[in-house]
Amino acid sequence: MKKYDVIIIGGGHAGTEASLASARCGASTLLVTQNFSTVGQMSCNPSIGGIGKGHLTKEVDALGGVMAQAADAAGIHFRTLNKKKGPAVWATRTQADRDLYKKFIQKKIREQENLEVLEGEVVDIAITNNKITDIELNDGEKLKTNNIILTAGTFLSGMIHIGNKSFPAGRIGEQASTKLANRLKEYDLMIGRLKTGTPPRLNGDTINYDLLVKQPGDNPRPVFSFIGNLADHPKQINCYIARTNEKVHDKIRQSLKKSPLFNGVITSKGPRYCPSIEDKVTRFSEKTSHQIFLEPEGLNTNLVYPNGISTSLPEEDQERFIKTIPGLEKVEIIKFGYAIEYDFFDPRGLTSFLENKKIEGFFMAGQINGTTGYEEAASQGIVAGINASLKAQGKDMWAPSRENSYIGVMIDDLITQGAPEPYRMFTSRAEHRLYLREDNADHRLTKIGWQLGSVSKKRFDVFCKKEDQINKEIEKLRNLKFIENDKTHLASDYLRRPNKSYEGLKKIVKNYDFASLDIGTNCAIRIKYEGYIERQNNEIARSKKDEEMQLPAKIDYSLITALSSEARENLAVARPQNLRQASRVPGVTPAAISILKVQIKAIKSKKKKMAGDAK
Amino acid sequence: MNNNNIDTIISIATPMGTGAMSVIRCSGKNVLKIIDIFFNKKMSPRHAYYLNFKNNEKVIDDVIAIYYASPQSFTGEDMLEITCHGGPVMYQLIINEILKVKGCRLAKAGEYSERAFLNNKMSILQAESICALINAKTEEAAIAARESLSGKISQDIVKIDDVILKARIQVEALLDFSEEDIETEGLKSIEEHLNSCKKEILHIANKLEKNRLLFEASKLAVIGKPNTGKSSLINYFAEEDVSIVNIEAGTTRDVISKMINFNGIPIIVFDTAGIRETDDLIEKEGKEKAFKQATAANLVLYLYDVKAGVDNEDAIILKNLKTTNANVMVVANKIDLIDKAKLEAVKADNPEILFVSIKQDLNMDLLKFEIIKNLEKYTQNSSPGVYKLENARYLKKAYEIINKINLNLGELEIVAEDLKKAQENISKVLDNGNDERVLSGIFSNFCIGK
Repeated sequence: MKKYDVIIIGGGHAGTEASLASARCGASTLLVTQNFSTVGQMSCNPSIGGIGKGHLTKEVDALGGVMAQAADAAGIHFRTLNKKKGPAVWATRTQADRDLYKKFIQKKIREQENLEVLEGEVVDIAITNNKITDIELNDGEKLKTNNIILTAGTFLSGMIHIGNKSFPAGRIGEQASTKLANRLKEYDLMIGRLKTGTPPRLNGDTINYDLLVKQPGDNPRPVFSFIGNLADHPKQINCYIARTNEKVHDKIRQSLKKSPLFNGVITSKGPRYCPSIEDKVTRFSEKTSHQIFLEPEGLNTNLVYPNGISTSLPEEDQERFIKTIPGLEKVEIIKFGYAIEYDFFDPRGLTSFLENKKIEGFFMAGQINGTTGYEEAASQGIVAGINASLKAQGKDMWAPSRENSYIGVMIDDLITQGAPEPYRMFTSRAEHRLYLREDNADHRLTKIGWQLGSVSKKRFDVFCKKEDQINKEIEKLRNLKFIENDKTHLASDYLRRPNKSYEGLKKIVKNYDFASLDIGTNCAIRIKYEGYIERQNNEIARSKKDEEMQLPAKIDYSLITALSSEARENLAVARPQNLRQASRVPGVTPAAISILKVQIKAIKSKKKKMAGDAK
Repeated sequence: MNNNNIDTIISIATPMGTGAMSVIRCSGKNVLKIIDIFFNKKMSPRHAYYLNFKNNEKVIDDVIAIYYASPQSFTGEDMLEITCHGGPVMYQLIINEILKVKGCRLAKAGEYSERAFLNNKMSILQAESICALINAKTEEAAIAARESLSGKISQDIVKIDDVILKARIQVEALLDFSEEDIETEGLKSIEEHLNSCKKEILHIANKLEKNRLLFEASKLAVIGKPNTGKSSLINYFAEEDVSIVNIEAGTTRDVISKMINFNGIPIIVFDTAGIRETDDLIEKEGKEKAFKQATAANLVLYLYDVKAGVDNEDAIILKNLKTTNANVMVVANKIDLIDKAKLEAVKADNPEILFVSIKQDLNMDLLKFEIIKNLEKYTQNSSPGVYKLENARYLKKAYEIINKINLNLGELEIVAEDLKKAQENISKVLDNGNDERVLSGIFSNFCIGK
């Protein structure tokens, strides 16, 4: 039987980052996918990044991942969102050419040392004594491994709905992994069901762009990867914005009865931030127009993704309302929209390393954990990949924290609160938003990634050089004085004021050897926030010791009657590892934390006493 | 010693308002620093010192201070006990000064016991009971908070919480969903929210401070038919006490209250309108108000004119009173106006009644003594006033944060952080810290989703 250190099941955004990270960190790694040609596929909207998501992408990049580089190689329309607000919430987003994106990812996979790919379907995962031992493929072949990373996305018991039609599928046109799903149901894993939707795809040649609002990319154009540059980008094109009107809404309302979202066929929970167009016209009936971003799927395709009209109405009804939209009167629909229901595993069953709490060596990442979005998936993928690899090599695993990354925020949210709806990143989820920025993702994570083995020497050298330049320039700025309106100012004080930038400083101060705009902007942002961040760090330090108190794995919450029943139930499901995680479990109040603290101590003392008695 | 706690905690250890002394205790790493700052003296552990508590050479109070060195203290940490002069004003002055030392904060419910346990100063057997204690204390605190925030003030704080939440929903929607086609009310409306917030918080903070005295005092209601001497009684007490505080009248026009101080116990006396069984609407209203005061009071004094005796009307009123408040003391006034033999006869028939003459100062010391004895039950069971002190502090903090906000789009993310901090402070008063409601608010207010 062939043996691998780590086997990844699924080649989506989680699976590819996991495979690459596991291999980079030094484990012999196998990626099993149904079809290699779909590896790196963007199955929903053709874009990478956005507010919160751009932050994740940069973090994956800082850890040595490929998503940001692929976005640079495939990006055809770049923007920096939130540019009018402070730099902590600036966010990079790009439309990506699907083919270029996929090709880039597939190339990286082929080139990666320690990584093999196998086309096939995994039908069984063998577990002995709560440890992974091997997997079985549909052709009967067995492969030995002690660590698997399951990244099956929506493929587990996937069920697609269009109007009154329902059929099992992973993505449209691809089969669901029903056998594996059934097999996994035999293990005591907490399984839930979620739904999501996707809009129809349009033929761009049949759109009347004269009636639409043109949206060009940003100038200057941002670059995604810390080791990327503008030369990586392909040709840039424009996006367009269309709008619905009341006539369109009437058509949708007339069809509501036929929507599985409304007639009771679909009961599972979908994301509140990604409603179908049926939902939008019903819940916000006072809104007379909704915006639709027409996003080109690539340079060499006429496919257009109309972002904003996800729907599961019957085909003819989709056609009817879409052709009422100004500019789309003559549009040809190439693929119809649909809703998909799929199984996910309650992420409260995972540790912060993304390993199952009960089954050793069983890692999970991506949509299967109840998240939505490529960036969320990739972020978990890289963490699971790093950890499975470290574990296979007998090294300590790594958990990102809420203080060092959005990835840490996401994983902590997932394992303490579960996924009552598909989980998407928002900057408001982070307590340390002013520190968790796109510009310093490398500052926060690249050194860690280097130590873990996930970051290449080349990337680390680039990083060290940049940090050195930034530190030197910051020191200079702290001592740089200039005169404005007859008063002497310190450059560092100037940069702390609202809406001031390094560029602005350049216009005022003469006879100073300015650094590059990139380095200078990095310095300006760090100086701007340093006071706030120092205060936050003090707060973190104050509570750190308490929060790190470990909760015994076997603690029986039902016996701690001093806790509220809500806290007891949620703690029993989430089984937090320490007090800090416990404090995020719904229903756990500060008083409950005090009670847990006392319990931890009591259990420890009892153990000590019993050990003493035994002697 | 297993010292996980970075903060030094402080609170009042004695019940509020009682007696001539209050004991303040603090525990934690900064105790020696506190001693140095306010006493500027090297203290040997477990020795009582008579010292001046000074702030920058200004004497605040002369106190007895005892220092306990870790681990030989109740909590196992360094501890300091300060015995100062009684009354809420003094101990709060001292606590406020100590709170200015970096790393000091007010103690939470049950926190001294918790630390004692964690530092091995108690056996495991006590663990469960400490859990129960934390719980009980929390409930007690919650009740105390509810009481002190009763009615209007509580609603007002919920309103502040709501306005901050609204502002946050606007701000966070602008930050996280700027790409969406959302119609936020913009910066101007956020500014309006903030201004109304500031105004409300200031208003409440002032009210809370005024009411603090109310909540820490015992309540005494004086009830009786017209012309039984209620006002004379209150004037009598008031004249004795030079430190009369005229406080804001309650919610009613015709219930007048005065704060008096009996041997260090602050007492609020409610002077009610004279009541009688009547159909007259105006008098009926007065009667209802008087009964309301009687219900809320710790002790009810029922006055009647000994000359007239306890008539039917008195009997009915008394019966009703006793169903609303079990603690009723019946006082017969004007004993100087009937002859001695008759008085002795009435006295013999009614041993539970106190016989006095307010005008002639007969038996008034006895009355005072009985009142104090009766009210002490309450003051000794009451919880320390730290919770209310804390609440005022949280409100003040929230105000300071909002007041400093410089609203502009270019620093909206900083505004968001500040608003979050402000709301955290309000949440501590209301005990409703749940940040998910911001996202929920965004999703229910704006059509998000491309």
